[in-house]
Amino acid sequence: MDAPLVRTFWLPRAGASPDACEDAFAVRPGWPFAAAVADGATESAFAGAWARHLVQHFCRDLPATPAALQDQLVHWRAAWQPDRLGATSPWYVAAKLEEGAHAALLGLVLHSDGTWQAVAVGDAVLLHLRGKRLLQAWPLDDPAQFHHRPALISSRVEAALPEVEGWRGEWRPGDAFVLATDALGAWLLATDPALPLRLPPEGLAAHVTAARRRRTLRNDDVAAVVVHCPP
Amino acid sequence: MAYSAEISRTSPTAILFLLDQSASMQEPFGGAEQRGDAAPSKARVLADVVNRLLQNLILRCAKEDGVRDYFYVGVIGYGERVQPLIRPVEEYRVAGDLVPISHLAERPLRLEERLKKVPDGQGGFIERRVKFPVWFDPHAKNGTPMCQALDLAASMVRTWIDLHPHSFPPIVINITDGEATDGDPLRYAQQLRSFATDDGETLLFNVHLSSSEEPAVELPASVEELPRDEYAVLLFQMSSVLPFTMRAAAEQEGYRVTMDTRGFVFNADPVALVRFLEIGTRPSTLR
Repeated sequence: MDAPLVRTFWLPRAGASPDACEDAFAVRPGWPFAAAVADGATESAFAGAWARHLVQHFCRDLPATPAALQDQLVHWRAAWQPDRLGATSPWYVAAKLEEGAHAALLGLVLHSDGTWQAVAVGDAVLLHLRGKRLLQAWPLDDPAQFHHRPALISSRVEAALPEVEGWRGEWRPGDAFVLATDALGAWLLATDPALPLRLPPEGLAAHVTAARRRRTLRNDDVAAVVVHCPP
Repeated sequence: MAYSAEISRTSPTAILFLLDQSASMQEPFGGAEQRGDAAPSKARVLADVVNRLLQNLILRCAKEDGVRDYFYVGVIGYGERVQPLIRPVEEYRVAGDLVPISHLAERPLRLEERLKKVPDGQGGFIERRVKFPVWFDPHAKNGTPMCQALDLAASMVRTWIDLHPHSFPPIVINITDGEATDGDPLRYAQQLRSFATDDGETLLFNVHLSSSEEPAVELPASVEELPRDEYAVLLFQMSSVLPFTMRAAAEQEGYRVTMDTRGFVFNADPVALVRFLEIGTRPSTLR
């Protein structure tokens, strides 16, 4: 069976440089297929690097259930090494390193037998579409439910393990999934969840930029992975 | 919608603290002596709380590449004198004497070493030495010139708004344990609140520190929730209604809030003080 086809998309918040983007995505091609998006918290240091660390490790280790993700988080935290502290580092850098980095994570695994599994901490959104119709959205399906203090994964080894949500289901040939970080996910739910299926990345970027200008889409970093299941 | 401007380096907001430094601040919080506590003075507790809050505000803005200027900050003490307790260097004087937070981060008065309990990863705690930045020390002398302090705050806020007319409006937090000794502060409070950006009027919140064992009245929505006390009613009238983002923060802290909930705490103990400052300094998400 052919593997799923993928389109990826990311855009830093308006006014920020591309290297300041703290959202991340990763994809594992072939079977089992995996994709993940993560959203680094603005108020933590090294948040973009932590978000990249999480999505890359998800696509390598494929922890597709809440218990498996919690098990893996212990190892991912142990492997996390942000910049070292220098003797002349200011007091706030030491304090930020001690606070750790924080990010939301959403991961999806598709199996060739027609089943899928997903896990999430925080408010990145998974959309399951059939034709142009949204079948279901997780963990939130109402754009009004998004708030500013979602659950996050801490990089600190001593921090309590976060509560992980998990879902599973079946996909049919031609189905599509969209994984999107919170600002984009909320906007897609409020407007047209199938939009990323129809547009190339540059077209989606134009829509996002226009919606930010109209203030219908919160000015935040965005990242998305669009997954087309094989026909 | 008012109070919805995003806070970014190009569109920062201002947070200004007015700290009562009158003689009565030498006394401990109400009920502390009776409980046999070591009972530090209200002035000592307040200086500690606000120094720690400044530290936390800086940490919210600190990234791996430095501290981002999401906030401009000021601290005015009022007692023997009415004066800014943290001062900008010459190059920043144009901003109405409010200090960009990166500048505050680089220039504490001193760094103290304190012991902090941190989790050891096995369910217990260990003590670790951490650096505690201090920007100002406690002081308590003479009367309570609150009107003068509100007037100085108004002039600082006005200058800052001229430079940032589209920003989330300034937040002014007045912390006091007594009545003004220099006039009617309501008039000055109304003047201060009348200065506005495109995004809304200046927010003024008030915290009254407890001299009694009465329970704190936190975030009241009407005068009926207050004790029969003219002074409590006056401070309530001086206080702004909480904007949406802070109502949401208050709800997350477990408070019941309505559209009329005001940024006011009467008879606050140290816990209520810290809890309110956490809500009152969360204007909206940083971008």
